[in-house]
Amino acid sequence: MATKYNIRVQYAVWVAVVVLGTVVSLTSVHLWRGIEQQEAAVRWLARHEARSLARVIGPSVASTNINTLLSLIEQSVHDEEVRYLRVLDSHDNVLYRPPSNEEPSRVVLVSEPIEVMDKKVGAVELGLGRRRMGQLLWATLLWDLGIGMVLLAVFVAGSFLISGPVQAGVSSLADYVRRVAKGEARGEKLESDLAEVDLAAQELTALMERVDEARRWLDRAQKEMKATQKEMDEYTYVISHDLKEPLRGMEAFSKFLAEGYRDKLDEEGRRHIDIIRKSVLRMQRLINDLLHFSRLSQQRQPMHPVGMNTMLMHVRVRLQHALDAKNVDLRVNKLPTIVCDETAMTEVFHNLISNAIKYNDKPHPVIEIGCTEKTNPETQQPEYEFFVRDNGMGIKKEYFDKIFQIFQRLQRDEEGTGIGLTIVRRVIEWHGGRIWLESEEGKGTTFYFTIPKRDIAKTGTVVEMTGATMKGTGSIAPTV
Amino acid sequence: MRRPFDILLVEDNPADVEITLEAFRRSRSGNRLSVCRDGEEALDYLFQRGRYARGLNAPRPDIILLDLNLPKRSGFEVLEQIKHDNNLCSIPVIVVTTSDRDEDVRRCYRAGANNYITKPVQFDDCVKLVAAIEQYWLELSKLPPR
Repeated sequence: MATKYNIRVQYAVWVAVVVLGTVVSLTSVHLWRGIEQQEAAVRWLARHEARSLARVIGPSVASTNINTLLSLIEQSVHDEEVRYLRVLDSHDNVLYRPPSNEEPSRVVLVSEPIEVMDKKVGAVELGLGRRRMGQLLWATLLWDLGIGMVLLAVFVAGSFLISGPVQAGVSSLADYVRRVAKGEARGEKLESDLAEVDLAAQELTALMERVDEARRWLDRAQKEMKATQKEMDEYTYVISHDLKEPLRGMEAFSKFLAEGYRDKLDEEGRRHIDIIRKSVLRMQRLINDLLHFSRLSQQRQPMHPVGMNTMLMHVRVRLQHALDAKNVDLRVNKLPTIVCDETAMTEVFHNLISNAIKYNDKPHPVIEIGCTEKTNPETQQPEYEFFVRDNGMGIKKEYFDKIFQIFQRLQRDEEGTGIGLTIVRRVIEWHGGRIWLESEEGKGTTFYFTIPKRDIAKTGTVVEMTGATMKGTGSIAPTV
Repeated sequence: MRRPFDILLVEDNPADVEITLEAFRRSRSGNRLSVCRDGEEALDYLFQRGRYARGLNAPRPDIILLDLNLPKRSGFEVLEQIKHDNNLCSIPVIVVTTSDRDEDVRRCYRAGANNYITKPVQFDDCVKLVAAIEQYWLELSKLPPR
């Protein structure tokens, strides 16, 4: 159905159809019964006229005096509706028949005997036309339909009046539901004369209470989660600082040992001290990275629109040395402007690109960066999907998850600690995006990540994104 | 030739004390370093009371190197007491600590710290730092007269 009419129109139409149907069927019955009655009435009239004619013309029929018969008939038959007339003698010979006789089938025909002195001398056949009958039926029909129309008008108007409060009730309920859904009708009660509307409103209130309850629970859980996350970051920060203190002692005193006592130690002793000093350095890097990681999460910058191509120019400058050293071809496609934490997002690209440089064994390393606009399959919101593609050594599928975990590395090297991708994932997640990769061993790796598209014009100083700091897989859509 | 400067180091960690002493030794500037191991002792020293009553072994320092994380009285408390004292408030206080939290940095400067430095982990950096402090605060800067 293309259009839905409101309840009052539907009501009125249905009442009209029902009343009209009733009137038509009642009228038909009335007419049908009327036909029978009217025919009987006309027949009675015809019989009456035939009898009186038979009485008048009786003697002349008995004496077969045709002339007298004719004049008598002319004198007695005045009714114009007499359309058929025959006078017969006792042998059924026709004594009189006007030339203008109708077909017998088209008249109400009666036959009355002509009796003189109780002896049948002939018969009068008289037919009355049906015109009078039609007139009577026509009057009946008009009368019935007239009443029908009045009834129809009364019923339609009545139904229209009666359905008024129902429509008002349903409309107010619809309006109430709309306002409840928008959150405008908080605490309001819907007053209605209709029990059903009241009931529906009550159900709605109960439903909203449950929704509110669920929302409160969610808020609480989210707050707790945030608090826990904050606490964790705090701990990480404090612990890594506290770890630095003994490290300073180890660094300094191993150095004093190495410098002051080198001559007194044998080869093995000197090697051991060197190992201690190397371990100290590594420990220091780990702690620094941990601090950097917790600092990045703790000290978030306000989000604002950042042109990705400009940002990548800066990243390229910072990585120029490494790019030149390996003769890397870094291709950057046209990228959009996104709303993000600039420092953190710079770090994302820096880490992904430096990984791509570091783990490339090809003579002509190529790194390509691009972006397409897509729709988030879950939230149906627009988002940007970035990719960082390299032709490096690739990653085995079983390590796809592991590489994002803190301090996980697939290769031992002096400099790396394995925190780069953990930071990348953290940053992407707190921006409300997802990160994943595709890779083929020996051929290369492509990292993909999404950033929700935000209205740049609407960006205030801080875009708060809840829940996005949660660790783990999957993304959490920013709450409205 | 100028007189040697008196420097007060307030630091509880013995390793850090030794590292700092070694770094000063290596700078060969001949400045005198006094060490207090906690906040209480530092205040006793500065206000010449308790062990340091009557000014015994407690020369007024030209600069103070102050750690924040101290037993008994925190470095921050010591800083506040110094800066609230009419006589001591003119002594430059350099906060040297492990913390690099924004709120600690802000709080110290607000309380009147003259400088805030995070302790380096590498000994070589400690040596450089000591040399820089001596050069900037003791040679290039004009200190308040005693």
